[in-house]
Amino acid sequence: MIPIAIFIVGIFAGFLGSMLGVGGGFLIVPLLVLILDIPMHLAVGISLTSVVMTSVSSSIIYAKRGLVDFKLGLFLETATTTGALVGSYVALLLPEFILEIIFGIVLIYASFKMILSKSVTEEKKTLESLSRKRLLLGLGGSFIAGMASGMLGIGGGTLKVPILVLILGIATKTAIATSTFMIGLTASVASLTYQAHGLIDPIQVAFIILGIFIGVFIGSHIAMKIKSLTLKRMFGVILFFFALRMLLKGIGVNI
Amino acid sequence: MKVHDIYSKIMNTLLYISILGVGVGVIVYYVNRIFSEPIIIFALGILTISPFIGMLALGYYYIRKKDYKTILNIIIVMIIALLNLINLWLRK
Repeated sequence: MIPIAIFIVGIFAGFLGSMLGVGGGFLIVPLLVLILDIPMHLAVGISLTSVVMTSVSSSIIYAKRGLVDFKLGLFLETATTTGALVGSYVALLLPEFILEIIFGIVLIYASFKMILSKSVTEEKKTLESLSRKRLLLGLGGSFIAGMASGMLGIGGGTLKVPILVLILGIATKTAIATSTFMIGLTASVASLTYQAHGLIDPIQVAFIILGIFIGVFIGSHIAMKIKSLTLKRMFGVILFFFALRMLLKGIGVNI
Repeated sequence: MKVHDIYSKIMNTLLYISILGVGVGVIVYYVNRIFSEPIIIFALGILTISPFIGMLALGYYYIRKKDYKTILNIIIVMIIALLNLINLWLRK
């Protein structure tokens, strides 16, 4: 029964992750822990490998369609990975609840901006066409996003897509595609550590991986067909619930 | 060949090897659990290191294109990712 339930969780996470450019860790961990009663450390291990799977399979589909901006992704990833490394040390100095409240508020603001955005023609922007000011803001935002993932153990997608769309003004579909490419490397580092320390159950991971493979195929093909504005608003709604959960956790209410 | 084609071809090959491994592992699991685990672990290992191999493929492409700024970004990302790996490894 449990393998089939994990397989279904995988389909759901892969579908949503590929469609919105997120890893889906914020969705997988609560589902595995609260519904399937899997211990937290195993759920985190499963989630990290799942994020790698979502990233690899979605980025292949988006790359085939020429949607991934590799140059921009690599440029921003330098700041994100540095931020993650710095964040893991800063986390020792700052209480977690303060960070959760700050990021919760910032992300709720970003979610409203995405939900309330109006239909405009999205320009095709590249790394070369962006102004120096925007690039610096994007780098700063990516560094902070990396720090957040290092400090709070959250994935990148929920933070990377708003940076690409709201700060750099990248088209929503390109932002989602580039984000799926970027999250893979960050998650693979953490996943390798979990695997090397034997903190994963290979059988459970196998079932979720097969589910994600199917979910990603459906999700990425639907994402190609729906309008950018609809995708942006859908992302905003998911981001709102993610941010609200983080904010509530910060003030001591666990959902 | 475009960068998107090189990346998707290499990653597609790695993805299908790992999916095949996981699939075989799941089938073997219903016969003998002990034999299935090493197959799945091997497949997961390939899947997990594939983003690094993807980066190397991108590095190869941009070296041929002589795009030194992007090559520098790839080197920085790879070095910091390895530092992160060491950092996480020591803390666990």
